[in-house]
Amino acid sequence: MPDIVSLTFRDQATGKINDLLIDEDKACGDTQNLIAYLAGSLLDYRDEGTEFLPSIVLCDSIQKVLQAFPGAVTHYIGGAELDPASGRKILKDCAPLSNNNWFVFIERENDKVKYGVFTYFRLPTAISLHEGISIGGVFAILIRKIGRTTVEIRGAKGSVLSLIFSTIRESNADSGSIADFARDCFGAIPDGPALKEFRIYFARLLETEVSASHGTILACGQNVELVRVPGMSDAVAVEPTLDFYRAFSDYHSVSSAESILALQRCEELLRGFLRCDGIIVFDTAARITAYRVFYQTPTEAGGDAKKVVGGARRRAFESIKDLVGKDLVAVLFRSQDGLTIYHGGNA
Amino acid sequence: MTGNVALWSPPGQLSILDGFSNPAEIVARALQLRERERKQIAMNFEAGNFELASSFIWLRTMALLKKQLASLGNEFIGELLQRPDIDEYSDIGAVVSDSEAISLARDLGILTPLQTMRLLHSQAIVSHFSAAENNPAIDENEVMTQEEAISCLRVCVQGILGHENIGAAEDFKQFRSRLESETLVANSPELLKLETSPYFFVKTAISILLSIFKTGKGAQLEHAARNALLIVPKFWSDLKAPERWQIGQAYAVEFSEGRTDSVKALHAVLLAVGGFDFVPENLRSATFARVASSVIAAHQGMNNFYNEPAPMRELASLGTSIPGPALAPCMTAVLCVKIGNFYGVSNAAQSYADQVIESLSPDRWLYYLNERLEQDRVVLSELRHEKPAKRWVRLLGGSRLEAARITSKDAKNLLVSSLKGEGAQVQRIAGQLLDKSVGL
Repeated sequence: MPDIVSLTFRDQATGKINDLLIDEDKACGDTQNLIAYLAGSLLDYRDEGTEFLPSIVLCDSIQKVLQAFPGAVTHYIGGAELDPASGRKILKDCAPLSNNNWFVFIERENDKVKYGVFTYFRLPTAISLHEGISIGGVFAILIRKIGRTTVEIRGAKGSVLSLIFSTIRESNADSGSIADFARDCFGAIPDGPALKEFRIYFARLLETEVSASHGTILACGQNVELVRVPGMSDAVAVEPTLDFYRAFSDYHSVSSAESILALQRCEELLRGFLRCDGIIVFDTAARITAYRVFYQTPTEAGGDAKKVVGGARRRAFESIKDLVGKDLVAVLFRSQDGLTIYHGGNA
Repeated sequence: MTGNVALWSPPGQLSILDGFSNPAEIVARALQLRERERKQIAMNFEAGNFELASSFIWLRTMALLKKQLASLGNEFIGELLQRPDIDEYSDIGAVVSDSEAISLARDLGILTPLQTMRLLHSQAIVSHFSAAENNPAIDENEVMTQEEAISCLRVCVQGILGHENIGAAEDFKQFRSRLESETLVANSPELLKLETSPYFFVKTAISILLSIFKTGKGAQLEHAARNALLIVPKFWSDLKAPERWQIGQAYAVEFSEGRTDSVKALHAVLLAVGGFDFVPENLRSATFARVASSVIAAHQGMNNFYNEPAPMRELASLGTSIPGPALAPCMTAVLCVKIGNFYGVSNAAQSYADQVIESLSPDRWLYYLNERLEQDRVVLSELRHEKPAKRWVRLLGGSRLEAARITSKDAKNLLVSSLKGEGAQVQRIAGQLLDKSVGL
């Protein structure tokens, strides 16, 4: 009779979570189990058929954690036992309320927890939640999904644990690669009053949006005419170009509600482009000039094929790399599983 | 703080000029002017064109002073003035008003206390006569006297034009440099001196640290962070609310602009002093502070009666809930308009100023009297004169402010005199407070 083997990820995950809690000076079995439950649930959390991606902060005092976040507002929703079984109730109550601006918190108090949602004053350049929790130095664990198969657990003291629910050998999201690509994208913008802040903003934006995408290829070119690039004629031109720097400069100079909305509209369209298949092309002034760009690889064109492990997107990336230094300045690849590769002048 | 020791002092005083009354002799010492300019000034004095000569001297003096201030870095100047609208691309010559420049020059050790007082006086005289042709309130027969013109010339030469190199005091530069290049210890001579220096030295030290937080990187930022952890807690109990708000505001701005390293450093400082109540929930205050600055600049500039209504209307239109960090400059702005200067008030600006005044609760008045008045050189400078003091007395006379809630003895006396309707006493106390604020 053949053996029936079941392989569980739980032991490995809870062991690592325990290590992280020890590093954060808060070892606790119930907390460890609750975090493990939440991390597993976040991988594909749905309510009424809709997927939610809540960022969850587990702490001892949300007021102390949020002292570091100007303009923070909290709403308590309920309470439960400090137990993995409470995770389901917490997510059911809070996940539908979460989005880009509202986050979930769980506050420990002996063997109980209180939970709810919070937000803070977030201008486009403001420090993000995952950077902000380390400012205060008080106990806080952030749990968030950062890729299709990856959940990140991050402590206030700087410990980071990425749980990758995959059997494929992949590396973590590499924010250095995205930052390198972002630098190429604003390389041609002349120095001006908003540039310093724009650099921070644009790198953060790309990191957030690319991390949340289902995988993509971004290309950056200076004055590139796609119709003249062999194999790249299939593209949807964005006319007028989606000019992030102009929108940001307006916001920077007038700081009006209108200017923030205009910038947010640009961000929303970028999010939409990332949901589409094909390559997104930026110029070196941080403008999107085209999307749904499909590159015909040498194999498809009848030339020599490169031996590439991976899907169609990875093959396209390996081929398009050859254009860097000629028609393109840089390309960035992001797989569904979070692998991020940069190829360009800053590599 | 006893006010006996100055952490930094101005360079040479050119006190020899105090004995000169001949314009040609004084102007000959104006090293910063070209020979041709010196001759023209002397000729205008001889011809009795005192207003013309004084206006020219004033413009050149202020231009040179602002150029020198700009060399210290715009971010630093913006921090000292608590003006978030001043950034590295601002033209200091255009955005900083004359009185702000004079006040800063005092804080940075470019001017002596007496030169500061004399320059503020000369500024009022020059501004008044420069706008004479547009001001129906001024009698055509009113002219600048020779004494007034000579006094203006003398103080401009003594303070600015007569120095080969104008600049912040050497010991100020060293102090600023040490704050960003080394970590001070509790018994550093600078810190010991700071404890006995007048309040504005502490205020300036806080501004230096905050400007390093905004612009510094790496080791520079680390030194500033450690020094801030030493200095701010030491002086926190003596700090007035506007300076506490300044630190909280810096935290909120750095957070909103995403500068994690400086946010961490400022967080440690605020944690050490329990100062998170002074972190604003949003950055609305920047708009209020910017408009309040333009009201003050209009009040102190030429044609003030014509230029005050527009910015005052804008300030009133921003709403009555003035955010904490902007309360001090907004109070100064509205008081400038209400008490006017020794020639009168801008009638067209009064209704807008009244809108703001009516919205001020007694607590906000007490905040101003307790936390701002003693350092408010703009208002104190006006209150030394009879008419503005009378208008101040009228303004406060109807209020039900309780003098018992004023912590400072001088400010309490000023309020008591105001409530009793004693204008002359108000003038006297305001003069004393102004002297103290510049370190006299």
